[in-house]
Amino acid sequence: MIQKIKIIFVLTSLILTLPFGLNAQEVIPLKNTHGLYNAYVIPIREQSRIDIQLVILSGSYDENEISGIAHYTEHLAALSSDAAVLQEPRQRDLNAFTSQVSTVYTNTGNQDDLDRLMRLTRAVLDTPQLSEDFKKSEIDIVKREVYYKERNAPSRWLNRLVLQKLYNSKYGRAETPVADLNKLTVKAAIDFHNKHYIPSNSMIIISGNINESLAQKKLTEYFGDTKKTKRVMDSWLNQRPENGLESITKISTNRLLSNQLSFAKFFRFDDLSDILGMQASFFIASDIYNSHLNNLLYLDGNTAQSFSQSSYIAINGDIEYTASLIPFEGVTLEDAYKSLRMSIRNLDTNNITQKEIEIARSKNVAYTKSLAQSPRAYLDFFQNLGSDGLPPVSPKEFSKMIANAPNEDILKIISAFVADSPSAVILAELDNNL
Amino acid sequence: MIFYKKFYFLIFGVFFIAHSVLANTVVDDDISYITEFATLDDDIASASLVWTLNSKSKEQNRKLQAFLAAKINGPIGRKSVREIIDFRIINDINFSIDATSNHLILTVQSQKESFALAASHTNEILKNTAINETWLKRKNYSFRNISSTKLRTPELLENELISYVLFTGSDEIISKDSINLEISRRPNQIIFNARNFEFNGIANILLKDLPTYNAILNDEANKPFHQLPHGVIHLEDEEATETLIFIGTVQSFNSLIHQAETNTLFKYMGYGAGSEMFRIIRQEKRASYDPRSHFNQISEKLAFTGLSATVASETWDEIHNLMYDIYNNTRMGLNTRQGLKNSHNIVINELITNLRKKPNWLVKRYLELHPDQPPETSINLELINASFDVSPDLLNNKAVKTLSDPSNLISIIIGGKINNKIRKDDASYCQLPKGKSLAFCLEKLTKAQDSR
Repeated sequence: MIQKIKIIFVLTSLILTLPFGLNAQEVIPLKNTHGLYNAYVIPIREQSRIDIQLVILSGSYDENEISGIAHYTEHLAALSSDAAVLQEPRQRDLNAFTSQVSTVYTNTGNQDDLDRLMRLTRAVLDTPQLSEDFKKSEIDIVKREVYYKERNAPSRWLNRLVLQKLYNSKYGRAETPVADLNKLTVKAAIDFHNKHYIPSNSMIIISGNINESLAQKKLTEYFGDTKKTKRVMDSWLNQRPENGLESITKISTNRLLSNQLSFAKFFRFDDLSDILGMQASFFIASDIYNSHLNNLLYLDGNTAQSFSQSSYIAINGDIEYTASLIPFEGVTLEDAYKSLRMSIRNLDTNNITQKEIEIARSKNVAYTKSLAQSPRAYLDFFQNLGSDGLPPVSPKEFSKMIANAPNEDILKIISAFVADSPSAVILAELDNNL
Repeated sequence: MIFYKKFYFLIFGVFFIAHSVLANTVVDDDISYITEFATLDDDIASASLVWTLNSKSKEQNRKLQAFLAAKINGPIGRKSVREIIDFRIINDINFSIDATSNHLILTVQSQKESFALAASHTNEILKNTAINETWLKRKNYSFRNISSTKLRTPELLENELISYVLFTGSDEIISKDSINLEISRRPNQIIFNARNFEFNGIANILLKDLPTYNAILNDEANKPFHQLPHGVIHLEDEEATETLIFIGTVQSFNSLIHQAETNTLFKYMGYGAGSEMFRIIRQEKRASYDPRSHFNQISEKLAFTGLSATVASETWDEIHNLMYDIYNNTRMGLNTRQGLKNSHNIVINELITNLRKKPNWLVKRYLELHPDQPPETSINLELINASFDVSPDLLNNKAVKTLSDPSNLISIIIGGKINNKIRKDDASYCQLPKGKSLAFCLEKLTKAQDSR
């Protein structure tokens, strides 16, 4: 029997918002930023709502005594801004997150909500006004959250250990948030807020159904009283590993589900003539070296049961590469580490073909197109470069940057990755008897 | 080639209108049935290939999924995995695997403009019968069982309990060859989903040159589902800083409106920042970061339901009591009108998100109603209508009959010290030995309760 049934549901619900398109995403710097470090508007005609992202240009890298204090401060600032503006301040979950280099607060609504959204955004910069008991008890929530994340991803702990070895520190570019949970205090959070939550260390990105003149008008209305001061220095930019470091640490643990190695390598890209352009070259270069290692160790090889890699470029050209590898059955941690090192050393830039570079470009362009499916990813994209203090880039502009990234810069970054540079590895062997 | 032309209509009240479109593509054999929905977001198209394939045990089910995953992730002929991955990234082609106790489902999704390419690529994968051993080992590892007592997350606990309920047969080993043979045949059903898109010819592309023999594996019916016992299961761990608490059950519903009402009440109890669990356990008691409710449809008119929270171990007993209070108060109808309205909106928004973004959700709902082939007359997913028909204003009066009696719930405590107050007889309490799975206590309690 042959049957074909075709049924069409046409959704006409008012609840639905229009899907994101990729048209018209010009990033417009606002002319008068008052005391803010910078402010931008990105009009998106196809979108009915407005998103306001306040980017505090400080995050966990800026902690130098207590790991997790940026995160706890984020909770207090978000809850305090809700308490100041909303009638039922605890009726929503936190609208913020803390990354290494920034803390981002997002408020979303339609044009009728614009004043409320601006008030919520502005209130984040005010010293948190909550009862002492509440501020203190929020530490318990932060504790539960940190433990929750540890349970869901046990290898976070291993990745922290390797960065502590690489930087010989537990603060700045490395961290120790679980060990420091009992060091969190209200005073330390307020001190962090007073130092970092200042207009000149903050950027605003307004995107969605809004034009430049309305955005400027509202910025002046709510931030017109702010005065320019100095931006907070990113002291972690000077934190670098010891030259020639090749740290190897073996441990036994029952905290993981498998044997696992965690590797970190620090290198630099010195040619900073075009900082924004460098970001595009970096995306392509890291895609190429990730693909090479992934081919050798995972896709076409059998060293790894699973293999994940990540690279981060700082605004001064410092690059941190991290990899996490679970060995394939029968492969020892030591052998897996040797294979990883060898795969990096054997990556010869002379053998990288034009076709490979073009494929990496195409993949990055495809990624920007796929953002249309996720409003959250779209917003993250806007604030990604913004978090470094750079102007935000729309997916469409990013596609152009990818197309124009010079091969020469791409190959220079790969050469810097291959060259000897400080590194650390943790070889963690599972021992369920511990 | 024979053309069967049929029209079907569905109307979903205010929020949905529906109409049918003439079918003009057929598959020239009698193995695969084709159904088409149009609910996904504008740019996206999907095809779900469904093999009717019983899994007697969860382990069998994992093996089937791992095998299909190895087939998708491994090399194809002379094409390297890298080439294949780059091709998929550039064309934004994504695969996902899902399985129920009766079906194995492979869904391919891409932008509409590249969907014919995605279909052709899927056919290339399905025709490739050479399974790469490395990838098979990898995927068997990826799909392995991770006990909820190890990582202590509510998601793992939910999975473990649902598996206990659904997979009730013996754990016979199925050979690689027989799985390969089974997955190499044409799927029994193909379910398309896209708006404003003609799937003409896509089915033929997907099925080209696939053999057409009937299912051969596990073709006898599965045993009936297990029921969850009531009582308390406790894995004691005095050294743990954190303890996971769950209270709940698998609830069957006498109607779809009953199901939608129950879903609304569970949203009220534990979905998001406006819920009772969030308000009381997180904001007032400052006791947990992740208090939440569970409502997961696992079969027709059957859902896994419950409340969970992870708390500091020394407080588990107090919070466990509070969770019962929240459940009882909701069941007694002591709920705010606005809260119930908000919770109903959450149910509707979740439904719309599922229809727009999650093709597998709709496929599973459809397969619950039509496991073997589409009906002769019409497809009517009444759950959608029923969800819109819930009246939040009437829920307080109905709540006591809507939610299960609290004496039917099971509490599962992972971590913390034993509380002698709730340690009663063997029919209502089971202390879980370290290293044992939850099934140990679930079976023990069931046996004790059945013998009463």
